[in-house]
Amino acid sequence: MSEEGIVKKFMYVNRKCPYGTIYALESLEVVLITAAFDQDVSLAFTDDGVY
Amino acid sequence: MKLGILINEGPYQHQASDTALQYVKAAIEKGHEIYRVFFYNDGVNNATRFASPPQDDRNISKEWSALAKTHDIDLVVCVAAAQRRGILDKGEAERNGKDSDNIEEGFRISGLGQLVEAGIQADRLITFGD
Repeated sequence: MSEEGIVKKFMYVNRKCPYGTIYALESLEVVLITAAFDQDVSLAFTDDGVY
Repeated sequence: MKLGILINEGPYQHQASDTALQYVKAAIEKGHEIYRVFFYNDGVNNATRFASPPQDDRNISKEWSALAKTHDIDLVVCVAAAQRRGILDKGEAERNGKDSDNIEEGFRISGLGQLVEAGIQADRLITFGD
């Protein structure tokens, strides 16, 4: 993929608790992929995400 | 402006997909470019062509498909999220030994890299659904 070394800031928001649903795992996946593209990535935990 | 769209909710469960559809239509009308629409989490359920809502109700998957056809929009479904939820194209069905595929015309299955690419290439990445 041709991103020509552009680095952008990505913030993902996790509002779901870690167990019982697949959402927390899928938020982890998207963060890891974004990091693999050498982007400036952060993950905010709010609501039930704090658990 | 070049826009990337991320949809995280399935059709008929929340307002998100309907709102995204209206948003994309309005953006195109205003002359903006839709770089890509990416479906993640339960948003992948927008891509099934097996949903059969009553005749007088809107068919969200069909509306996405028609919009994509008219305006040549790239509709991408996350492969990992899609496999968990039983959304398959022909290739994925064969690879996983399933007897049929169920993806709506105009959608394609690819990886999360496509979302990251949309985030990089587009001026804004707009998220629908929590």
